[in-house]
Amino acid sequence: MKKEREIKEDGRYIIFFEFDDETEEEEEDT
Amino acid sequence: MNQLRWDPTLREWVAYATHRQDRTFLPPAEYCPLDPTKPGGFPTEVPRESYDIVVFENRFPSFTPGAPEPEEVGSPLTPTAPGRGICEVVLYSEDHYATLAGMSEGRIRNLVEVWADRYRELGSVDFVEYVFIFENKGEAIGVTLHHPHGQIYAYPFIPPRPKKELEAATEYRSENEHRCLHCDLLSQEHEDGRRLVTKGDHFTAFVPFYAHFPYEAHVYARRCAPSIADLSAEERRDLARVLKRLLVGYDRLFGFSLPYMMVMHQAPTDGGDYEGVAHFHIEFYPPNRTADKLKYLAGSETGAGAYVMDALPEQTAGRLREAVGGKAR
Repeated sequence: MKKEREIKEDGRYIIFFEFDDETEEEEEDT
Repeated sequence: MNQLRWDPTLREWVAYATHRQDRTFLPPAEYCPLDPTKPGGFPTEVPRESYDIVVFENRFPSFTPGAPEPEEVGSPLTPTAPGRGICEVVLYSEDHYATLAGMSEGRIRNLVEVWADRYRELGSVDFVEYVFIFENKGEAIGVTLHHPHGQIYAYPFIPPRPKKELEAATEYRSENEHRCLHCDLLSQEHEDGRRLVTKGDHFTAFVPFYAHFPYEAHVYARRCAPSIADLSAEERRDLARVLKRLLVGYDRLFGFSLPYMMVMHQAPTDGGDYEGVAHFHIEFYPPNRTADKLKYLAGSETGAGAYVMDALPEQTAGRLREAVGGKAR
């Protein structure tokens, strides 16, 4: 899990999470 | 303005956040503030062209870290306090039209990792006593944005419902040779079998014997883990699997994407010892009692706190189990 934290223009934080394992593949199966 | 006012009749805090009146209300899809910011497009909450999973501080928070002392001082009988806390929004996907039910097990597992990360980080803040992870889904629940997202409230107190549950578990433990209330409830559900919905290797979903909503379902860790952060990698994977099955079953139940409230109950982060008392679980409360009728929290439920149900959990669990499509026993 990659986690990147930034501060927005109005001072609030935002955190970007990225995952690069094989589990990210989508299986739209509903 | 974020402030707390004490209700001495119910012994609980009520939070006031008047700026929330101005929050964005059901904007058209092309102006969704939770979509990525596209080149040349309007700036959304996410200043990137694409994203995987994102967490940010709520623009209209019910609690803020720097909440000042309230101007209204109250009285010794009805004191006030700063509405100090942290409110986050969790974006499950950049796809505006996605739902948790439609996501892959892998993406749900990644989300479980994010939830665990937020529990740890927010729970380590000195004034945060309870990290409450939840999702309101569907207009029937009152959502103001359709984009797939959940929320996290890091409260400066243990909220009433988890507190009541923890008190019950503490009392049960002291009266029953240090046994966990939730472990015993889960054993009872496994032995009975009629209310089970689906089982994984480490998690079980069931309609509780005492369900407060017709299709209420609880997802319990089989091991007595106090919080989502205490789950092993395999347990987190299994949680994603069981959540996926349950959510797909919910959407099959009436043939549409079912509204629900999803909430997580786990150990407070106030420095106390909750081993054997807090037992990580997720509760779902869908408001539908049929495809076109809702269960309202009316006079008895709201004014007396006494829920009245028109369907037995054994019946609704059977329907839900059939919708999930598996034999849970």
